[in-house]
Amino acid sequence: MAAVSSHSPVAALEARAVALSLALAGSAGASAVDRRSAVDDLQRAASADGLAGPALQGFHQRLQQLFPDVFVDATRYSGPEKGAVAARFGGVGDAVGKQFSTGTSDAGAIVGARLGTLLSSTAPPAPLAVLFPPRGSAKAAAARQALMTDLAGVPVRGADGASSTLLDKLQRHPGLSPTQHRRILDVVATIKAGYDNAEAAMPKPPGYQQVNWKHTRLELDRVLDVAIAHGLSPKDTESAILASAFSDSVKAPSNFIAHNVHGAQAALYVLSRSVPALSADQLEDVTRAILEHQVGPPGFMGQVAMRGILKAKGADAAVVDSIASKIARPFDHQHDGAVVFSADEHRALATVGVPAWTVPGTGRHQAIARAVIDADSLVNYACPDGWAKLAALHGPDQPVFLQEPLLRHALTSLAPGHASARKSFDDARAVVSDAARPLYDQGLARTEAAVARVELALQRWVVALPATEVPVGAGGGVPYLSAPLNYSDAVEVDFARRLRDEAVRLLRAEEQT
Amino acid sequence: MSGTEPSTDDLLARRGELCAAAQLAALEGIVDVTDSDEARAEFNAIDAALIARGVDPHAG
Repeated sequence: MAAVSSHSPVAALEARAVALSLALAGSAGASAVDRRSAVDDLQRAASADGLAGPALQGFHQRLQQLFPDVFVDATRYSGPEKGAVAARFGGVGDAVGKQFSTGTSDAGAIVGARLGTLLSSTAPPAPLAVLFPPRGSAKAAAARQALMTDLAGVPVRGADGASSTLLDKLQRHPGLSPTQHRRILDVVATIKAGYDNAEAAMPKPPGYQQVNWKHTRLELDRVLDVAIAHGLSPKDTESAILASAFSDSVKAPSNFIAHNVHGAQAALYVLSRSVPALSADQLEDVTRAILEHQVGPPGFMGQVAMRGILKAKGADAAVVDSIASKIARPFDHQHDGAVVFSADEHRALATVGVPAWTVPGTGRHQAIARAVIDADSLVNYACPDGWAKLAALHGPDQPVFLQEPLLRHALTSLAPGHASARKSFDDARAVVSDAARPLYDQGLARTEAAVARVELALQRWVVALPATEVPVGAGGGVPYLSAPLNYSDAVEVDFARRLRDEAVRLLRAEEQT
Repeated sequence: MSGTEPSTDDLLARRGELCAAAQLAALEGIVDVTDSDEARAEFNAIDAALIARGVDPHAG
């Protein structure tokens, strides 16, 4: 979509429309009446501003994009009713609209008007205003300091391969200015608080948001590496860091399939008030990169996640097959950064709150978007910590589909009948950029070496246990380590739980070496 | 084997799909599409069919 001048009446109206649609999408209490009322107000404002002819027609089309539910039956909606009450948003819409269209928030309004894929009918876990409330300068400074203490305790490898901390690595990253450091820290501190607020708003499953926070920290580390691999400028590096930080900032089981859209909304919401303000172009780059990050692993997202969600909604099998196939191949079937779907496919996707499926496109933001996808893939599938997370999900007490005979199946199996960390690595590799592929493959080599060390350490751990605590498995082996686990034997299963816990602990420790 | 029966490769691929769905559901905490009696019955039937053909469904 072409850029819109922020000084024309149409641009101001569009900015207000985007802000209202975002505010209502992010407000748990917003109803269809609120959305209808918002459209009424905007139509009145267009009339009061003297919009006519093609300008009015264009604005009307924009409203249809932003509020598709209001226009779902065009014969029923013919404009605002006479005497209808204006502004029924409990103040939320007006406040956000003002924030997006005045002062430092002009950039947010402009970017909102440029992007046509920033909406979802899926609700976020809590309204953006609840997740990311503005803070005074004293509270912001305290949050920044607390974050610095947190990041100073995260061991990482520096750009030179030497041991470092995440804070040190960020502050030493080539080219980033003190202003950029401060803005990044302030934004990441806001996101960290957002995870706490999301946990409070949606406490189940317990600990979900803390896992998100730990993932965000690790991804921050990887995106610094990837930025160097891509040769990003300091400005683009900052954009990649911000996009990476926001990419999972509004993620819960309830909005998994649309969390990229909510993350992009959060970026506009928070960054529009950042000081000093980002330019509209940089804010657009960040927002686009967030929208595009959810493509990986593509097989998982298409053939597993989207297929499962659509099937659960009772969608037509052929339509589901086609959608899943397109999402599983994000570099095909695309036009201008989004998968091209048929009308039937769009209708099916609308039932699960997905109006568009953004994919890596071309343009100014391309390297930034790819850097975010690369960093996410590195954290999840090409490091010991990512594999530890997957190891914990297999074995005893897990669904029958994940009850493999041996621990190593969950990690390294390439057999077609299993799910494993290694197979997820291969899947995600399809969306890793050429620039980052060496890092990704090095990550696999490092992780496989870590797994080998962990298996040796587990053998030592078993030997050190009292013999009475180690059941004898088939062929005299150790259940779940060297002999198939008998899931109907309570003693073996109990032992396998301990063995898995130790494996997860050792793999996480490998992340620090 | 009749022409309408799935091949061993198809059975293994379907088994892998079910496992992958369960893994993603566990990883992301999303609705587990495999969390149904129907899916578990299908999974068990696949394993039984593979074993009947002399294929170890657990082979890693």
